[in-house]
Amino acid sequence: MDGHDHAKDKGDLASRVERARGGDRSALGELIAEFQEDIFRMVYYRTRSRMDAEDLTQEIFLKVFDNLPALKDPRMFRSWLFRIAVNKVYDYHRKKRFRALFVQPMEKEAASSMEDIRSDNRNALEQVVKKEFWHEIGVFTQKLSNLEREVFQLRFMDHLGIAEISQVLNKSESTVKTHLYRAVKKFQGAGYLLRLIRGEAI
Amino acid sequence: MRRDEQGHLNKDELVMAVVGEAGLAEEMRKHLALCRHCVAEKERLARDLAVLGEMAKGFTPPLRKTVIIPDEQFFRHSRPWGWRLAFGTTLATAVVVIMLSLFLFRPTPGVNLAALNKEMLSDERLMTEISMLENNPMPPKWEAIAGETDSTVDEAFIDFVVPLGADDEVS
Repeated sequence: MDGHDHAKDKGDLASRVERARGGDRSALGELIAEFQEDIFRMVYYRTRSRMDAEDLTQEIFLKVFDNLPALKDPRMFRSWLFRIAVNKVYDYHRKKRFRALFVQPMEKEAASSMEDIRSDNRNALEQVVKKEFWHEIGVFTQKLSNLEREVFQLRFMDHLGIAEISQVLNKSESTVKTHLYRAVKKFQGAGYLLRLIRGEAI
Repeated sequence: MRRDEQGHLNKDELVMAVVGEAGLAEEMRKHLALCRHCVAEKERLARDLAVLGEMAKGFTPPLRKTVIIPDEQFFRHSRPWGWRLAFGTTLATAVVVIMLSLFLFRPTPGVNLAALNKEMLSDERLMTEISMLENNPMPPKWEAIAGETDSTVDEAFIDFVVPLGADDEVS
């Protein structure tokens, strides 16, 4: 996509957001169609639970609908949406940690991940690679600080630009780059994950 | 980290080149523009990161429940500035409660307990004097002049001095 296309897309998005702010339900539908998959994946990367990711995606969009009139610049919709999503995921983890003080990890979670695997119609080898991949991603991201992890995921898994990430996290671009630099340095040291990505592991 | 003899980018500089070339020194940027080896190294790292993103996307289960647009009721009841309204209402209520408590529980002005006690003592003295006068209205020095200290009335003596008239007997 060249600069002209990008600017045109941003303009289109801004006009859809404006229409949605004015109560146009079809514009709301278009925004959902455009972003629901991205947001679902973004949440799934951080929760690893399909059910929770689906519920959170609905909650995120409800919050978006509720607060759409408060959005100052419609061109900022994408970073604003991801900011809401990041905050929702933080809330989810906070509540989960709090619940974990009183109850054992819920059977629902185990059932959910088993169901995720069963419902995925891939062959056995792919299932193994998938399981290994998420395990290695977990191992790698545990080595990162919270900010390094968030910046890394937003940049290379959610495909946001540096400027967008700085808006999402409310940090300067130089801070984002510093944390991204540290995270990529650690990624270079993630031997097994790198071999898995290059298809050398299995 | 040291560069090799040909002046290729080291690992840190390669990472910097992937994160944002603007962070590299001018000399390194020029080298990167010309050196095939460094470009290949940079692209290898960038490709690893791109494949990571693609694999994550491919290994995410599909979304089954699409997002539902809430009904008109939701939009009518939703208040984008609700938190401001709630904050304002709470603040106004707090101010009213504080003003009322200041008004209701303020100390009564001008209450002087010493003066009140003095006044009560004075009242008591007056009441004692009144009750003494009821029993014996004459001052003590007048009793000395009158020659009688006993104020009890002798009915027989009164009958002797003032005999009852006929009319009085009839009545």
